[in-house]
Amino acid sequence: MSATDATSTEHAEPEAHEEHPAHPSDWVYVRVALILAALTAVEVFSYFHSVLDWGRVLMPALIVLMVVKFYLIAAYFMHLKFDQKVLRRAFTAGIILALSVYLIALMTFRFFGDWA
Amino acid sequence: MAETVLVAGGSAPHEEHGPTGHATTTGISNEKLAMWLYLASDCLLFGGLISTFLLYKQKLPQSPGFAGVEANELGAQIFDIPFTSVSSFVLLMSSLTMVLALSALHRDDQRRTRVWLLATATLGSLFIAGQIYEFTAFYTTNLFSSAFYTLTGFHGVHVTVGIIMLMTLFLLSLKGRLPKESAERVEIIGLYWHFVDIVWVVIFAVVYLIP
Repeated sequence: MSATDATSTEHAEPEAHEEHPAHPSDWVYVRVALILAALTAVEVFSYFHSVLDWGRVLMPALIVLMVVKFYLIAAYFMHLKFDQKVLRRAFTAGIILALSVYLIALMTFRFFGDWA
Repeated sequence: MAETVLVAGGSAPHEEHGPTGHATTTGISNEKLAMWLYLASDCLLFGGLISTFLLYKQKLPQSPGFAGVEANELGAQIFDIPFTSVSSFVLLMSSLTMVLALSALHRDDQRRTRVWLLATATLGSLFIAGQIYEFTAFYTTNLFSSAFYTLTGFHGVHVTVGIIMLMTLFLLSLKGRLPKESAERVEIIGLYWHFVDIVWVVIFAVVYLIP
């Protein structure tokens, strides 16, 4: 093999060309679903102040719970954890773009107060 | 030189064949990549709808029909949180049944594939029924409500389209036209379904729970 061929072969192996790992077993899916159900129950308890008074941590806690649930569904049910990295990057790019655009839009309308 | 082009462009050992049997050099079928790009772009649609809702929620005390209602107490005073929590749980579990349908098809277990596909469509229909009830029960007309109905309505349309696709898969399976080899077709529709679930996770927290 010539030097040119060797270089070409190197370039022909982008990151997307990873082996397809096996998807998780049914039991893993059930466990993830149970965790999601438990997290949803914790979220709902925040509504009943008599059961659990979250005080000032309510909003950050709900945001963290939402992000964890989002991650679990995307990583396990949508197989992003196991599929090619290029898919993860495409989806993450969409989320980051949407977050950036709309956070700026909300700041423009002084949604977060006058500090912005 | 010809060999160089072939190796760089063909990458035969990693070719991926999608549902249409078309080979790609990325290792991902065109259909699956297209679905992921669509889902990424859909983040912008729902981001816009959620932002609009938040802006009108802030102006709620000035809206007709909401005099005296504080934005912080919105969830408790306007929405039926226990009812919506059950709807959220139903949609969450439909994601589990969807992924179990795909898993069954990977094992070429046609009967279980049909059972899980039908279960997913049924759970999705239950969610839509709950949303229709919510629309009629909390009906008011002002800008805040318009933003709420547009956001949850668009999500409902997504769920309805998902149910139609699931029932199509179910009918294909009944006719024996959903072999193990077409598992990626189920996976792509599953991606759409899980995305709808993910969007609801955000809506449930931002619209209903976060004060």
